[in-house]
Amino acid sequence: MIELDGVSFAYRTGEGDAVPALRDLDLSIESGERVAIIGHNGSGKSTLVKLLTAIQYPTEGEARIDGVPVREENQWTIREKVAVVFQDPDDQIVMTRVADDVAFGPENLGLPRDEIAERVALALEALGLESISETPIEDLSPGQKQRVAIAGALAMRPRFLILDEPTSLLPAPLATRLIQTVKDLNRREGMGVLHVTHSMPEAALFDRVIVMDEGRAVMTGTPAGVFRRVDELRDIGLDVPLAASLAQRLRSRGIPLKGDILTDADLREALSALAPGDYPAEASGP
Amino acid sequence: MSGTPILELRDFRYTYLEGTPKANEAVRGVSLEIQPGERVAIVGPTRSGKSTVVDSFAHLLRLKPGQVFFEGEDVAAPGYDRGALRRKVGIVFQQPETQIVEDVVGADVAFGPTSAGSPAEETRGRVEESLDGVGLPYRDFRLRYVYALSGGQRRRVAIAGVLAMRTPVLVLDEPTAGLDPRGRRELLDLLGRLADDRKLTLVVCSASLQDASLLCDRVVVLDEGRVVMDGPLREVLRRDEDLVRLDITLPEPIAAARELRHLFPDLPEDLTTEDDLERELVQRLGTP
Repeated sequence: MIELDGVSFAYRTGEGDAVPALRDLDLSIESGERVAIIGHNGSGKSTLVKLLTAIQYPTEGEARIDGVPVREENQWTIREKVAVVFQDPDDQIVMTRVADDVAFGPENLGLPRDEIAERVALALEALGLESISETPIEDLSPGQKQRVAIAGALAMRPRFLILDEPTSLLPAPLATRLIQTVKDLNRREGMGVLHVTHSMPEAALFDRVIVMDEGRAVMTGTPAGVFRRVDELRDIGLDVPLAASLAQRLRSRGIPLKGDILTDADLREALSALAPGDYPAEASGP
Repeated sequence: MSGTPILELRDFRYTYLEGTPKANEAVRGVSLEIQPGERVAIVGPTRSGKSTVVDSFAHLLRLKPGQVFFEGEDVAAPGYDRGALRRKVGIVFQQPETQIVEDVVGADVAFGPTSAGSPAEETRGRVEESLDGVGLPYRDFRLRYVYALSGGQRRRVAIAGVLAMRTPVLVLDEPTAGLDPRGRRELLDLLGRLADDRKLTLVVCSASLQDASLLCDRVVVLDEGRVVMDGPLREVLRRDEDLVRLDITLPEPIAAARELRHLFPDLPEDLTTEDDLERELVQRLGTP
């Protein structure tokens, strides 16, 4: 599991002051959990990712991955446990062909050839890339490249897969399909998934949502629980999925919508479940 | 509309690596006129050719004569002053923060005007005006290190650098990708306000209609290097089925209305805000 105890981190600025990016952060994420992390730009999300991947180290407090403290002397152990996929796949694809790129990480772990071949084959299959395994990277679409980056991370067999805004450059329908793929992987491989995102509809697809603000985790809970707090989220520069906000508006007008409403389909279902008489009679409804 | 378009494409075609086995026909005959002061969204799925169209406006390609015109002049004609074109058309590329060239905010914003030969005193004024314009007050931010800024702030620094060139045309490729909801709203407000104040011509390129629906009044949809729709925003939004087929992200209210039309088949197609959708639903549910 991932544990953070009172973790703080500060960047230095030009004027010599330190800008705190994480402040006394306590957090624990179970192995195999699927968590979305949301927060405005500058809330500390990216710094958190850097700490969890041993790119930066806590200024105060301690972070542990499966009990191993995140410190410089443990950086390689940490990076075997945690793999990350960044926003732009061009930042992390290093080889010229799909299969070679997926093999790059395991090769650097010094694994036997057979095991590398097996890991690559399974990762390609998991992301549906078998048919283009020999394709040059430059011929891929952005969505395919992002799949290659995820396959490369997966071939490391990490305990946790961190997705740092991997969908922000993809059209929404492709992004949703990618998230679905990652959820399937989580079910099959049992690895934890941390998805850092600005897309509230995507966050709603995870088991737990952690909201960051000013370097702290200010809310944590199920998507339904978190997205009910519309005003608090808007106060810190975030939003909620349109369906959640619209449901709240309709409820405040006395329309008794039942259940948790996070997606457009939830809203449709709740509206269609309204019995005649639940709302004034002149309705021209379903 | 009449008068000379500020930007015009006439049957624009472009093939990368032409004449090689890897030839890739990206744009296959696009004709487009953009009048001064228009706010146009160029929307399409990946590989629709929209980035090539953006690059053509900056003359970053080997253009053939007779295809791309700025204020009526063929930018590929022999002797055409490309430097002058770049002083007229400002381009904000995808993730512009990755092309910040200086360590300190003020120096980065000054880089463009200084390179274009603007005198020091004038450059100072332009830097101040541009940083204030993007909501990073000059006094507080000019000496800050770029690396200590948040992603949203870096995006603004990069945009300020383009604004400091005071170009009458601003072309933006996926300007809000990666910004949080507030950052996105603020940037869209800022662009709208700048376009009003400075009478800018805006061209916004995106795979999503979310931003375009808030910023632009005309939408051009590209697919496989061709124009498949071109018209006022509301008319284009009415063709939601076609847009979905092209993997174009719909504005959230439009997407929700599509789902709810299973219950209320007469929900209008052009509801661009949550308020619009709420009003229509309340009408149909018959509450006060």
